[in-house]
Order: sequence, then structure tokens, then C-alpha cells
Amino acid sequence: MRKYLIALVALAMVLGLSGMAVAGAGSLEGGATVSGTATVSAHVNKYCSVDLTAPGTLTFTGTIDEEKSTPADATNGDIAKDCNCDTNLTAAVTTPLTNAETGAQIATKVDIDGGTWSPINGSVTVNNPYVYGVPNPVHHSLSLHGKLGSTISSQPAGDYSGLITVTIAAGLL
Amino acid sequence: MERLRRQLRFLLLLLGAVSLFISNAIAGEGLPPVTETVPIFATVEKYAKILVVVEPMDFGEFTGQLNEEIGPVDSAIFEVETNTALDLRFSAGDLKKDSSFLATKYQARRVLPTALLGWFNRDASYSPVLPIPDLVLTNAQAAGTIRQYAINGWAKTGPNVSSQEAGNYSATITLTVSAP
Repeated sequence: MRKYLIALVALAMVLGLSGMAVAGAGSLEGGATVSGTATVSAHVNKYCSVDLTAPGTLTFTGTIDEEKSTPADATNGDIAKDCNCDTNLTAAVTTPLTNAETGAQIATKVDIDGGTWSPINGSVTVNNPYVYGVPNPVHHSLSLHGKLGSTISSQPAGDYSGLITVTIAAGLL
Repeated sequence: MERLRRQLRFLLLLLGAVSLFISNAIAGEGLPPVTETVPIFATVEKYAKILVVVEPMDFGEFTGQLNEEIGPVDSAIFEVETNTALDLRFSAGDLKKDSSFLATKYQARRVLPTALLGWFNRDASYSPVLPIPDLVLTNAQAAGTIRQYAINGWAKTGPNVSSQEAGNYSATITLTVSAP
């Protein structure tokens, strides 16, 4: 047992548990050099900055089953995103297009980057891997789609408004 | 018989007296000391030792916001022992993770007697130190001395969040000594 204890103490001394490590020692003859190196460390947390521009207004004639969409470009709905990690970008219809006076609603969908429309009043998610060197913020189009009902009377004339929520979550990193 | 015994005793006394006389004569004459001198030589070569007394220099966590600065962080100290005058070269790089980096500036100072020695890698305004990023000091430490050099570090994120990927960053600070 004593042998093991002595060996352990010797090992600790060799490993420099005294708090000082010899980084370098040697002759300086003939232009030789001696160096010592200390390590530096830091951690950067996952972070995103987002600026949203709402999609343009949909204008319906009022005919039945009429569908309208805003263009899939950044000037008609924009998600300006500056992130330092892989992300999942989700756009969700929080409140469908609704007529405040009557409570009538228009079936509402949302889309990112001209991909696949969300389910009615649902959400859509796209994955954005982090790529170093890409100029930021990265712009994603945010499009709005609406479809009127199967009867004219089900969609009272007037103004409709709703709410889209964009959520950015850290992806696998 | 008695006569023979007396003669023998006399003879012994005579021999003793003669030997005592001879030994005293030799000692009194004084043999000169014989000494010889040979030269001896040794050469102590120029030698130095560097200890890393304190490390790592840990900046901790950046939240990830743009233009976020942490510093000074002063947890890197070198100790140099030498038997000859020394030139010192301090060098380090930006904190890096793959292609991402955090602009990092370092300032060296001598602990005792206290003296600011200068910036390396980047200057006080985070601009690259020109013409070389290293801090080179000629004849900066005298022969037969032990000196400690402490390094202060500052680091900051870039103008975009995406300028630096989330994760762990690392760098190294190197002190190199040589004889002038």
C-alpha cells in the first residue's frame, strides 16, 4: 500500500500538480530559442437576431373558393435573420385572417422561401444550417395565402387581419 | 659478561643519538615545497527556462450578441529564468473555431519591476499590429535574472451575429526567448 502511495505522489509531482509547468528550457547557443505556450479559451453561445417585415395585403374579389397569395420575395414579407448556429425557422398562423366585426375567417396558410404551404391555420418549418462567411442577415421570404369559403355569404366584405408568428430555434449543433 | 652488556648498551645509545642527529639535520635543512599549477576550464552556455505559472486565459461565455467585448482577462503568466541577456518575442492569434474567429488583443507587462511592454496580435483599437503581429523586445531581460510576464487579453465579437459561430474557441500565447 505504501508503495502505491509513494508512486502516486511521485506521479503527481511529475504531472506538475504544484501548479507550475515547465514550458521550455534549453540552451540558447547558436541562435537557438526556448518557448513557452499558454492556452486561451472562450465560448460563444447560440444567438440570433431577427427582423420581420409583414407580407403584403391580399385583395379578394369575393368570388367563391377564391385563392390569393403574396409573392415569395423579400419585399412582400421578409425574415431577416442573423444567427451563429444551425437553426429551425418556423412560421405559424397564430391568428387566421379574421373580420373583426363578424368574426368570419379566411382559411390562412403561410410559407417560407416559396416552399410548401403550411396546413390551413398551421405552421411550416425550414432548417437553416450555419454557414460561415455568408453575408448576414440572411433574408427569407414570408408569404401569405388565403382562400375564401364555398359560399359568397360566408365571407363578408370588409377588412380582415390576423397574426403570423415566426420562431427561430437552435438546431443540432 | 657484564662488560659485554655495558658495551652493547653504549652501542645502542650511540646509534639512537646518531639517528636523532640525522633526522634533525634533515628537518633543519628544509626541503623546498614542490608545487605545480595546471589551468582548468569550464564553459557555461547560455541557457534559459520558461515556466507557465498561470493558464489558461479563459474568457468565459459570450452571449453571442454582436460587438460584445470581454476583458481584460489576466490569467496567463510566464516566468523566465536566464543566465544571459534575452530578447523576448510574444505572439498569439485570434480566438478561433474553424473559420470563425473573435478579434483578440493582448498586452504584455513585466510584473516586477512593473512595466507595460506593449500590444501584440492586435492593438488597443483591435487593428492588426503592423508590420508583424508579434511583440519583439531586444535585450529585454538581463543576465542572471528571474522575471515574470503577465498577459492581459481582450476579445470581442464581430459586427454580425453570424460572424462567429456558436461554440468553443481557442488560441495560444507563446513567449519565445533567445540570446541577442
